[in-house]
Amino acid sequence: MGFSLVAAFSIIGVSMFIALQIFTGSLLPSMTESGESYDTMVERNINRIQTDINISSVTTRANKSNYDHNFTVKNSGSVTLNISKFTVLINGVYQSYNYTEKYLYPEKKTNVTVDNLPGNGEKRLKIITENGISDYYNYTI
Amino acid sequence: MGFSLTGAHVVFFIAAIIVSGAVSGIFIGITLNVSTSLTERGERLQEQLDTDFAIINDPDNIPSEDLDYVFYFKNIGSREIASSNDTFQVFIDGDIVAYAKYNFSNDTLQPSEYTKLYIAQSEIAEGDHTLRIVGPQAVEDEFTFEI
Repeated sequence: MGFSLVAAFSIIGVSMFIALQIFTGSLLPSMTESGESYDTMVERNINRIQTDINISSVTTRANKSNYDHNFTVKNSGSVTLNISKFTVLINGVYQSYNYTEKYLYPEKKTNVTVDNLPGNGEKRLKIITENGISDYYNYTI
Repeated sequence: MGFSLTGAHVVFFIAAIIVSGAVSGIFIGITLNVSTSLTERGERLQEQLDTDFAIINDPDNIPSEDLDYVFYFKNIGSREIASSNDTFQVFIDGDIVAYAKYNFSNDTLQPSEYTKLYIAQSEIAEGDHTLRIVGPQAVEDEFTFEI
């Protein structure tokens, strides 16, 4: 009778140990990864709060029947921005653009150009950073 | 009598092994199910936390191509987004847009990239509207614009 009890409790004890291993083995990595995702989200939101750009001036130059547009953008936030990840819209339409420096550091200015764009008149520029922060600028050719 | 006592012990032993084995099997099975569910929930939570997007149009100038209005849609999260009619639902002024009335220019969208969302012009009359896009894990963005 005593041996039967010992055997039964041994089997249950081993199974509890296996269950604990299964639980910790699968749950702990998942919890760690969720924690990392949460940290990344918090960091993204902090970056967004600390990001700001200001389009300080726009110049245009005739290029045959079209125009080259040159925008001066200032990083007025405190996060370094990757210029290659900007999105430029003129009158609401996406434009491919050129840039000389890859990064725009806080309190620095850079030039972004959109070349050979047809049409004159009133223009409305919108530049959007990699994390969705944007600035507008109205100008007339 | 001696044989009976040994036989009874053997029967108790076998019964104890069977009962404890059954209890152990059920216990491990439940643990497996619970840990699988929690892991899957964790993966969904990760996807929700990593996914973020924004409609980046100029609200005063919504461009059009052929018979569609074009909305620019930027991945501002930290994971790739599958941009398709299966993963995104589109609402204009609270009304869902039919599956056939919108489509995306790319199938996937890496962080910081943009894609075009085409919505049939027949779905949007002139005036002020609110566009709401609901994506994976119910992550959503709302955008008010004028046509």
